[in-house]
Amino acid sequence: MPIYFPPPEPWVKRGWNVKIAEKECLEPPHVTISNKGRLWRWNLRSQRFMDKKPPPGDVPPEVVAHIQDQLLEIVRRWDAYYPLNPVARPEDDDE
Amino acid sequence: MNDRILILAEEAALFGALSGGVDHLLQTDDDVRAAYLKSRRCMWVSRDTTRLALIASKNLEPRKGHHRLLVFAALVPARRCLFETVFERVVAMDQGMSHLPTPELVDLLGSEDRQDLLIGGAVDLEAKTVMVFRGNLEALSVPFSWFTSPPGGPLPDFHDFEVIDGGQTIRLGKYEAAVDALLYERDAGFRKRSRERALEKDDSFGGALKRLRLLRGMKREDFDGITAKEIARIERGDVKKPHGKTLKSLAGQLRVSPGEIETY
Repeated sequence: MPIYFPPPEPWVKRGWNVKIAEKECLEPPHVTISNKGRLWRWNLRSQRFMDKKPPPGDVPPEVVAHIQDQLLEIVRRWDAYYPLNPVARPEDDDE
Repeated sequence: MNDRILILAEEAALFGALSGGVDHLLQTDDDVRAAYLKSRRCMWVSRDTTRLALIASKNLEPRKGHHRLLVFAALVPARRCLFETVFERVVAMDQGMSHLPTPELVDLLGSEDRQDLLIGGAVDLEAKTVMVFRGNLEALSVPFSWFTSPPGGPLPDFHDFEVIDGGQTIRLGKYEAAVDALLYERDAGFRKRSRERALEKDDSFGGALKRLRLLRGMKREDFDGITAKEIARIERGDVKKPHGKTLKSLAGQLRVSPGEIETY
């Protein structure tokens, strides 16, 4: 099952969740924020939203803060799931 | 650009929010015939298909333009055959077809991004294939082998198929696949739209090469005749774009044409 990082209440009750799915576009590494059929991608490297749509401003700052709080664990899980494409900058790998 | 959506007027209430955004409600049989003949590309949406079938059998000539039909109900074989003489593609909620719940489906059809979302699909266990339908009714066949699992992740359960998240995720038991991963691989138009939606763009050849390499599940060391260091230099942009032999070799090993790499 996807790796979920549920935000604290009241956000789960309001339909918000954060996940890494089993089959993703791998580049760049990201988490997917979901709410009632809408999905946002949040880049684990730049720590920013990846797309203009849906509007990033529709995501409550508390949900983004939750991702930032959990970032170390999220990165650890992403790297374990997708070892070909770790969150660490690819340049670092080559040095 | 999305095709126009056409609905018979008496069915407007069935489609709630969707019919509110559609200015092509067809009142009379003549309206239907005129719409069919005038438009080259249209998507028709219907639930009670009786009147549409009556009109189709009497008034519509076979296969004019690129008309597609989405039926919010199952179709008996004879009616399906009739519609298939008139419409380029017919998608119905027949037995074995899993689809988004109606309110989500209506939302999807009203979305300008509907071609990049899935309305549903079905699993063919014998052919080891998942058939999915996009919001423009285009069909995609996805072999079971595409649904790879990361280390420690769950295996897809093909007996338990569903499209969720408003058409953006394929669920197979406890396994989930992002629809954008599928479309990114299959559709150059989606890749272009995806780049346009992106806030941070990496349009370099190296960025495209890396995305395609990861899509194929390859390490930098996996290329015959090209060193991992060389791949890393190209991906970083130290080499703007490889020439001749290297480009051809990269493309061959990534199973695309040389010109296609940059579309990823």
